[in-house]
Amino acid sequence: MIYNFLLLFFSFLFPTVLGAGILYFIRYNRQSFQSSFIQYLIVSFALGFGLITFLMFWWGILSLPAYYFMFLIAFLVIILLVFFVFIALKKYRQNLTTAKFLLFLKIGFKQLSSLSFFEWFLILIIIFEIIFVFSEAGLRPITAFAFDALATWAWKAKVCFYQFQDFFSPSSEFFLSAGGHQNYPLHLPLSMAWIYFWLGRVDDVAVNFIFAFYFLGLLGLAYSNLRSCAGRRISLIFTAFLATMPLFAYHGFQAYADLSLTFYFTLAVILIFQYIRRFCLFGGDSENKLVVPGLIIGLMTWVKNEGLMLAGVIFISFLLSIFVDGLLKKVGSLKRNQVFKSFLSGEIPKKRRFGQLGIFILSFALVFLPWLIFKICHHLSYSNLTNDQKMEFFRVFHPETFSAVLNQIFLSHSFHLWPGIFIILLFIGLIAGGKKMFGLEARSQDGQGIIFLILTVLGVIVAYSLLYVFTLSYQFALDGTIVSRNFLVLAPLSIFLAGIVFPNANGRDKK
Amino acid sequence: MVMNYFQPLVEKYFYINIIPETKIFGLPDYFYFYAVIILFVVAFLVLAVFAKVRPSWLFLKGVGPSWFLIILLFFWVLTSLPWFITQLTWLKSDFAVFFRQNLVQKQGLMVKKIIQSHFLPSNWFDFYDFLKFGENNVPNDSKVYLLPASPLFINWAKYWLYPNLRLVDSSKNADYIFSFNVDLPSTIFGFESFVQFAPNKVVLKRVNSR
Repeated sequence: MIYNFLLLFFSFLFPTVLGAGILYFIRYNRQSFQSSFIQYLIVSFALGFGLITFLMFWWGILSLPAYYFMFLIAFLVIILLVFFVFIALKKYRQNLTTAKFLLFLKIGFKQLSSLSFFEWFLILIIIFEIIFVFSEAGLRPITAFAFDALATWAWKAKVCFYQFQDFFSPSSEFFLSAGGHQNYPLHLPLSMAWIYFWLGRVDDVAVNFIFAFYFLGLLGLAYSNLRSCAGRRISLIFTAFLATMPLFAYHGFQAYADLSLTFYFTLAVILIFQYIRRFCLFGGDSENKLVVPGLIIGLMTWVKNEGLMLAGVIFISFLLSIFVDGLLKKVGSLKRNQVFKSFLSGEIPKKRRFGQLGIFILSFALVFLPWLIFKICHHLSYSNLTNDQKMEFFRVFHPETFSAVLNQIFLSHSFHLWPGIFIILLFIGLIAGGKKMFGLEARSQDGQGIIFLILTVLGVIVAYSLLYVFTLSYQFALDGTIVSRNFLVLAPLSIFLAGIVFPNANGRDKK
Repeated sequence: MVMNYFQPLVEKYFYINIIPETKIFGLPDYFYFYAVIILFVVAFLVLAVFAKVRPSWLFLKGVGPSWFLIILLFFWVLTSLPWFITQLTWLKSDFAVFFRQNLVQKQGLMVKKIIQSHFLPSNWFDFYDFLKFGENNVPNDSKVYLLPASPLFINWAKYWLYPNLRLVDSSKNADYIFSFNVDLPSTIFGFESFVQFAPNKVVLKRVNSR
């Protein structure tokens, strides 16, 4: 029992250490994440787990045995661990004294004792949801009530575990586990297989913790980011909204890819938001700070086919936010045909802007292109209908899906009352804080970031609407199969957006 | 009255796609929220038009944004209570069923739970045990055809019989037929009764198979 628990713990720890190693070598430190250790940990976990599955894929197509891979990664991580311990000892040996440690505890205790009754109430709600998700993850086998979890993801993971080389061999009947959904991305089955390799057996319960950690990671991400922009009480209120969103909590213990996609999507968007906020678009010491968002966006395309569409949304929103930024800066004096020139001019050198954009796109392509080329080589489509049916836009037109979509978003319990509340809060926030976002003189860097977030949210809504109305996916929108799961990606982001535009977020209750 | 308020949802396997609204006193939970929002907007408009009060002033200086948020949260928690009860019910039931069980037992119990949620008769509950029985009685690497050939049962069998046995999609290619609660004719061409798990739950063997 304890031995299994330890193995499971290592299966999560090793990718996290690997992720931290990558961050270290591309010169990302805690300061890159607003000094938040929680965020540093979350990004390390995301990057490490994503990279493990990426490398497993390469290992598979090179037809190498899986146990060599495990040995190599374990060796690499142990070296990294020794290196980190050495660095930590060197850094803290002089500084870490008992007095300082006691002071740290004292500050922590003071923070806890300053919590009001209301804040304790919110914390208890959040803790209840975390306990619920982790308990269910530890109790139920993967079969649970989710049909595809077993038929698609767990099945692929099981085959990958027993016949790793056959799984990647096009001549094998087990190639990508053949049958339905062969074209689905591999992040999830490979993550599960990674845990099976660690445990030495297929365990349908243990892998549920992947999703529970995504749930926890998103809560941590929401709270720590809100906390950097808003007061403690407001941050807790919005985190409680997120934690108690029914479908969000439900996916925390169901082996579906939607929460993984939500995790990587939210992380990518928030990292770009932080970048804009901190460096005011290419300013300051922003070199290489778009590498990690680029890698995370690339990993999104390995989670679900929709990840590619969401990656497009993020890139377009980012470019549009640069455009809007330039437009707002120059709107007073610029003629219409000069708008694009504002992007090229300004205080930031052109070379630097394009250099950073290039690194951003390159880091995305580095992760994404192997999967795309693999798909093209093996004639795997992006369609969710059948393997050989292409995703064709504008061949059908089904406007009736609009009412079905609105019904499922606003009148179901999936997101409880959040869609309605979000619109109200965004409306209030934009009225009260419009100047901060769109004003010509008083614009802050928060404002630039908020524009990016709004464009991303709108982009996701438009992209999914196009998918539902103009492709054969309309049938799944009408029968309620995909809408709530698709819009799950917006749940944490909308929470974050509503939290930071909320009036007085920086005001009197900031503690 | 109280039970009308705290009416938990009964879990269905399709909840993964959408979670239906909970009912509070016979009405969907969102009804109360949108009704209050409409009342708020009407009150704001009335004050703005007749009392010449700016709605933004009312919000920012009158109620105050933080209080507005707390009111929203209060509504959220109040209408979430049936969902919290649902979560507690699931937790309680899952602890009672799965706690301290090993993986094989958990899988069998989960299948039973899902079949129960489909309102199938109790003689369907032991499907997982039947699969394991068949697996133990048939040589490894055999090809198996399953009856009933419904997607849910086929996917379960394909997943749990792998890697020891291979599920095939036609009896023509099969060495064995696992027949679960299917009324078979007295003789099936090319197959004979091999072992019986329970009445109407049998494993058939191809006559010429080794």
